[in-house]
Amino acid sequence: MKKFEIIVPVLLIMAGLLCLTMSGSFMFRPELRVYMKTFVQICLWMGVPILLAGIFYLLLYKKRGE
Amino acid sequence: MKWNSIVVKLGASILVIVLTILLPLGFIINEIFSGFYYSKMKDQIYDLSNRYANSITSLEDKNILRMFELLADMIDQEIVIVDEQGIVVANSGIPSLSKGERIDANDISLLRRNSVIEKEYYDEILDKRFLSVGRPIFAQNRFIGGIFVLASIDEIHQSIHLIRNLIVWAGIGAILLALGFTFIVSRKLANPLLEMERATRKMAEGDLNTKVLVETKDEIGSLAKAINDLAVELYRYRSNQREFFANISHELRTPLTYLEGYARALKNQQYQTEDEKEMYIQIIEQEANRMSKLVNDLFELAKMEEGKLPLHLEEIDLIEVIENAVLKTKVKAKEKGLQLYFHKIYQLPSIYADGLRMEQIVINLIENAIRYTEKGFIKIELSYDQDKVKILIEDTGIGIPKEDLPFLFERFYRVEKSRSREFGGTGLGLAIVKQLVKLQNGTIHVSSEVGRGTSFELTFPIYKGDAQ
Repeated sequence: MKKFEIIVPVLLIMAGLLCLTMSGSFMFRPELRVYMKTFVQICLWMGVPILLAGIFYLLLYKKRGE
Repeated sequence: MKWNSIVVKLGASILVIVLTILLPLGFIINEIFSGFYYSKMKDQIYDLSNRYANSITSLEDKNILRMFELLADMIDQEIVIVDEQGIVVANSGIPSLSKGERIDANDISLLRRNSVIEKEYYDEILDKRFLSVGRPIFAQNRFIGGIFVLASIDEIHQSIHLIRNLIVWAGIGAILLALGFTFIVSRKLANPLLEMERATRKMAEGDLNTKVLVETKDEIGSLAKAINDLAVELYRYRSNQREFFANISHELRTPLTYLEGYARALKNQQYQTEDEKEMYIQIIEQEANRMSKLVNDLFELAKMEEGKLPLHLEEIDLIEVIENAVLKTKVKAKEKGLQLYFHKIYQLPSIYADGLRMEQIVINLIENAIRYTEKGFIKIELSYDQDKVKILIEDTGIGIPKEDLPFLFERFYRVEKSRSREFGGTGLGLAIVKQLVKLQNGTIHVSSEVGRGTSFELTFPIYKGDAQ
């Protein structure tokens, strides 16, 4: 993969996460701590399907290997 | 990146899908919030207006009216009280309805009829919109006026506007995330395809040693395997073609050289006797026949390989076919001093094939056996089982080395290359036999031992009538 092919999706994902964090923390006090907390929470929620997909893939891979 | 690439198409499709989901979802969330705030406020002012209307017993007491004006300030809502004529007697802060002014006559008549009035009111001086609920005030069952409780809708609208903005931000975030992940996924999906495209282009340019390095077990992996197989097949085809052209030019050049040489000798009268001249003419005739047979065989083989050879398939008796073939080859065998045996059996099941082509197969194999057998015999046997009929043609000839057996049915393949002219034949006989057997749903198998002989085993499915 070319450098540009890595940078573009990473930037898109980062921008998406920042927008979501802004939206999620705007109602509260505009503090860095709140912003970071929301950011981490969004990342965790986003990680849930990725983690599930990873576990499912590993199980499938193991089953095929057997 | 091309605009019509898979990455762009997939990205655009997913963007459309995400928008198709997010826009109605955003609209519904907006409606839920608006409805929730609006109905909450409406319930509140309905309740307050009811309680206030019940608590007022007279509009004569200025203190009570003042108290309601103060109360309105405390609950952050506005109160307007009118008398039985519809004249404003108390106003907590609506400048366009100042004390002494008369409200709309329809409203006061509705209040007189004990109706509740709900409407949106716009104050031009404040430039604010209010949700207004008006109730009649009764004292000892006599209509004495009405009370209007007004709540600002602009605040609700501001809150909803803020929430709408937050939803839009969240939507943009979700779209960007979707685009980012789509980019990665579509790249992952498109890369093997691009790899295959590169490989096939190389193959098209003639580099058939190129391999597609995709080893997944999905459809893409299967496509990659098919491309690799195609490359192998093309490579084999190209090699065969080259070999074929080399062989055919060699096979044609040899008789042509003979023809040219002997024709020149005749033209220049380079012969001593009439017998010698006769011999030259005979050689020219033999070589011309050989070339003619070679061209005929080639033409027939090409037709078979293209599937254009017409076959007259019918129910045939193999015993009759073999008897005819033996009859036609008996003289040649006798000339070489060879015994030709045919072990006939009775009640052999018939097969579904072309009689003439079957005879051609058997004659080819018997002539081949005669050609490569110096002494001994050639034996033909027939047998059958539940499904197929078996023909065995066995000789006591020179035999074929093991390493040559896999190539025996290839065009122009000769075991003894240096002695090919001595043995005769075009080098296409066995290739034609194999094609004819294949076209008639049969199989052919060869086994041989150098110095002891060769045997060809042919099998054909038994004809079972229409049930077949």
